[in-house]
Amino acid sequence: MRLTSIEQCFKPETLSEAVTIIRDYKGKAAIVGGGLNITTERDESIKALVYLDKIGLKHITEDEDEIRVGSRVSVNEFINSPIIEDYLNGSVCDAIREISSELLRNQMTIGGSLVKGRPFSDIATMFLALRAVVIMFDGEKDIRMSLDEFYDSGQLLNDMIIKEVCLRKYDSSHHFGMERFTRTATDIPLLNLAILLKLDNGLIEDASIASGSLKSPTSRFEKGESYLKGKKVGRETADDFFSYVRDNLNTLNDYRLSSEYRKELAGVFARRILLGFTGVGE
Amino acid sequence: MKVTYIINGKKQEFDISPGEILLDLLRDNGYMEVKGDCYEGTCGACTVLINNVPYASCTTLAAGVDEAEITTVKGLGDINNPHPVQQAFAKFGAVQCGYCTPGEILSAYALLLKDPDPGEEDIKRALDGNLCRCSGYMQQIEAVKIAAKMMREAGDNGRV
Amino acid sequence: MAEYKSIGINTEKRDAMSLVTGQPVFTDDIALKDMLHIKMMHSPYPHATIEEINTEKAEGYPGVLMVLTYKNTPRVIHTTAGQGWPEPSPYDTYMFNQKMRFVGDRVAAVVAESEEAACEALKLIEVKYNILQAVLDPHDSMRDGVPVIHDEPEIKGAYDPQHNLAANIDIEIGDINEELKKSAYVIEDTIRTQYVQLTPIEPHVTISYLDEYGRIVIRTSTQVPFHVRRIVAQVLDIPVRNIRVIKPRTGGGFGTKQEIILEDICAYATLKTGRPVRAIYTREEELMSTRTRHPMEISLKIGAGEDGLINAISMHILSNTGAYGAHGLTVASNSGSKSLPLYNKAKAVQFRANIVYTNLPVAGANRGYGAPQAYAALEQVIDELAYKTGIGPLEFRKKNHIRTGETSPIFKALGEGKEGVEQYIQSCALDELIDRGAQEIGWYEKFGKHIRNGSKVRGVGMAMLMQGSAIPMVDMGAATIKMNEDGSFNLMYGGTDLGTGLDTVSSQIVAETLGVKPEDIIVYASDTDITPFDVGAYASSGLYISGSAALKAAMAVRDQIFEVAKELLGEVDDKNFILEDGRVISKASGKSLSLSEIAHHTLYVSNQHQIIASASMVSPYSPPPFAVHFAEIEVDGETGVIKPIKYVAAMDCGKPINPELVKGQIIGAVSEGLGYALTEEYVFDENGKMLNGNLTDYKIFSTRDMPEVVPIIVETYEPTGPYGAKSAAEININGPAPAIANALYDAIGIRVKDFPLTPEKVLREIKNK
Repeated sequence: MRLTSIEQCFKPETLSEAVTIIRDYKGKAAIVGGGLNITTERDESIKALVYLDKIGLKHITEDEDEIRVGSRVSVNEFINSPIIEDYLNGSVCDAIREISSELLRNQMTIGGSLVKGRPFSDIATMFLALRAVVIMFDGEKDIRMSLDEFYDSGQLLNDMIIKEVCLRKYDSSHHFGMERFTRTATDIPLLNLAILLKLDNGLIEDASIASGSLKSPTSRFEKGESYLKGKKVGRETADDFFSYVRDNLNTLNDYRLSSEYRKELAGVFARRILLGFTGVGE
Repeated sequence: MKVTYIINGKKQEFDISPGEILLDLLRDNGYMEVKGDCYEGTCGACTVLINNVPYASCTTLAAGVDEAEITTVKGLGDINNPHPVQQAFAKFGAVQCGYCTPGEILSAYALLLKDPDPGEEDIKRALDGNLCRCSGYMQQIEAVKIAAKMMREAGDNGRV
Repeated sequence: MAEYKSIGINTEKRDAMSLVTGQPVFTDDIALKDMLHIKMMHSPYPHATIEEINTEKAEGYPGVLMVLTYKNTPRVIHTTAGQGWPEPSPYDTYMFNQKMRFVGDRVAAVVAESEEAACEALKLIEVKYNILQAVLDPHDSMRDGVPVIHDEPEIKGAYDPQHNLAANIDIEIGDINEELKKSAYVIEDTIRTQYVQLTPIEPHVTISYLDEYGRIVIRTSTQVPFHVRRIVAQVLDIPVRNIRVIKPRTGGGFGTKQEIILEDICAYATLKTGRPVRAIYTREEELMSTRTRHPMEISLKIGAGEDGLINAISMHILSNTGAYGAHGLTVASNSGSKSLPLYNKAKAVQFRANIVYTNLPVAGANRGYGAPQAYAALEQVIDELAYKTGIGPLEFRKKNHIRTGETSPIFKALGEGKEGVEQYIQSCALDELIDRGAQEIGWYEKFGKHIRNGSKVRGVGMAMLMQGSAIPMVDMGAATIKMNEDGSFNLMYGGTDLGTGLDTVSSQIVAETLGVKPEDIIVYASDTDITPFDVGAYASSGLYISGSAALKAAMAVRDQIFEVAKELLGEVDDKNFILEDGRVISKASGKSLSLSEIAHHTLYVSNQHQIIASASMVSPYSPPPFAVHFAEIEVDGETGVIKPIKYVAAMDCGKPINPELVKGQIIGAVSEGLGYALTEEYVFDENGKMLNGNLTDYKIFSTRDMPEVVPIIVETYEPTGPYGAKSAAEININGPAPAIANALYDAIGIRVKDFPLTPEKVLREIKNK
């Protein structure tokens, strides 16, 4: 059945126009990415929809320092982009190639996935670990903020539009891995964990870790990041880190999985990702 | 508001409400081959191709795909001139109740447009959004392989 | 054996081309002019009475014609279980009632010009509930002092409603205690199964309208058109003759569409408004408010002697039928009658079941009908016993299974809610099924080997199964066949094809008998005005009952053709003919006539008459198909995740009429069974409200979840079946739960006695070990 609360559709030609509309509607207008959040949540307070198809934001471009992903790029477009295929030796692509289903990989967009962080929080978890930068447009200018800041800021979505996400180009000393738990192959993730490490001769110079699960917003695991710094990758660190993650990560407790099990899983995932890095970068 | 689509090759204009769902619009206008069920994008019975990419029409806003080319299973072939994917599904036990079939055929067709010789995993991945309770999927996967072969042999997208 | 032209052939499903090209063949694919729409309001409380209900505002909403509640609808107690009359299910349900018995019970229905108006109006209905204490744990149901769920005086046919006992079964053959005492090996265990539903992708949907005589036509997605007609007549208190039920193509049923869910309300709205009315359930309503598989707790005690022969089996079941008792008795009966005869060497068998009401969703018919629950437990305990005796799973089963020529006292003792029918097995390939399945899975290379890859360990497990073919001396189906002048035949029968291919195999049977091609048979089915009676599609009866009726009618038509041929060809003996390639041929003279010539003659030339015959089928037997399943899994010892790697399902369904369709029945049932084993379950909050009432959170298998499935069909000949066939539809859903559970034990030596085998539970058991 149609969304009965929607009274207006807008198809602005410019981002400034789009920002003006959402500001005028004071929280009662929604930007349509792929439309999945809007059609499934059926939020009756939303009175207007703003489509950005005339503006584009479907690009994936790169320069020396970063990859820029338009917020309207679909997950499948992201996965199938040659630029992303090569990114971090294909580990990023591999991590999300099989999330959700073909129909929804076509529909859900990078921007939409980040804005809601659900139901497909794999994208958010991955980008957080990759320390992605979000480019917001406030009506006049672009504002760059890290994804952490973006989430901390309460998202500011009634005033700004998410335009692009930027992924830093990491050198060969960086390694990325991600693990996810689902009940069936196409399920929403009940727990995911992503780790980006900078290694120097087998020593962890820097670490970036994010984890999320359905309905608990993805977040960075900063304690874990500090814990890893200076440690040597290998079986011992992996085993230690298993316990550390299990004992320190906050996880959701719901009818799908207990928080104890999620903690245990997170530990296992952390160990597996670290073991996957063993022997590389030495 | 007005939207224009090319549905199965034919230009169509509709006057829609701004919150219209594509599935409802299609069925209300007689495209009964598009089935509906979950309204959350999880079952795939409502699959249509939008510019040759498969989408769940139950979570697609009609206004958002203005000017798109929309293909339903009827756009592939009819009872007198079925497309190879339709033929293979009919012939090789891939159809039981048939409710999920239009969606599966469209997902398979979209895959074969991109990849004329997909492997088993590619087929499984392309059809993973089309839930079927009758078949257990094996015969459908086989049918897609057979259709791929028919299309490769026939050339021109399988149309004779 | 005779050489067949249409039997054992992969005839293309007769409706396949329509389905692949998207023809409007399902219930909801028509839109009638001025059609009204129904939306239902459901109880938010598990146990309550409606103290006040105010529908005025809703009735005043633009486009609303009426709001139906208990106040303005007929109060006729009945059962929604679409079973033969008199139903073995208790009469405990009303179209609408003042009492609410589960979250999802019907409160009211809005009839409006559009779905949207109906939905808006629903929000305007004001209800004041008197909330009662709910019974959510089936263990509590029978305790003293627990609220009585069915406290209305009209309830009929329930065993002991004052103790929330919908039904009860107690059967003992031999002296169970004595035989257990004598057994050298005894295993005792309790296994629990969960609430699931088979979620046909097409939801329940009904469209009703008045025909030119003012009768109600109900176009509905059902498995039981004739039972729909009878029950709607009962509930609306109108004569059966005023109702016509038509089943178009159905988008899957699996048992949930054996139940009268929307038809009564839809028909009532048409009766009151005179207009076409449509009702369709959402996926949430499907899961919450239609019918589910009875969750059971099954306690088994099985004893075997030194020789490895089973002496005694005791099976005690606590079955939760939810808020209403539809199919409660018969499903539990089936748990015993479709499993215990497998092990017919037992000298003593005890079968007890308590079927209790709770304030949870309503259970009902679901493919397998009690057998999946029973096998989930039985085949695990048999495995435990096989280990304990040291004989091993394959040999232990070979020693103990039923064989051709043998019987089991269970057949007679335990029928569908009453005494059953004695029968001897006339076809059974169990040994070959075990051997071929074992070979395909690589049993001897893999069993007990615990093949390890990092944290992951492989295991193999198996299960042995049977089912039935229809309910003996209960299920009846009839068919009419008439001949046309082009040598084609109309087959009109009540058989109810839900997508299984029944219409196709029936046309193959008729074609074989009449010496024509399946395409020469025009099938028209499941229309209560036009086709003869049939109980419908359930209990694996489609081919065995409806197909047999078609066969008998075809044989009668054949005799009529021979009669005419005798006359026209001047022969003496009307038996000495054959039908082949569309011709009737005299075996004596070799002379022949085409069927078209025969038909032209009878319709236009002399001794004019319509060649037409009807026949009915009711069976004194219910020959079991047999199956042996093997699963290979990989279990991750760190996460508890079970990944099915390969699944072998070997089945003896007699003569497979259409092997490709049989394969589809096998693989489809296996995929549903795998969901039952691993991922599917209803989760409730503390008030009995389902938390995962959608397909995002109720997890069924997709293409990417399926292991490699290898169906093996071992052909036998069942003398009582049409062309030697037995049923194939249900049996294979029984295997995955025990086969996976046994594979888990083989891999890492644990059993999770509570289905589904989720990673969290598996890991917990690993840690407890």
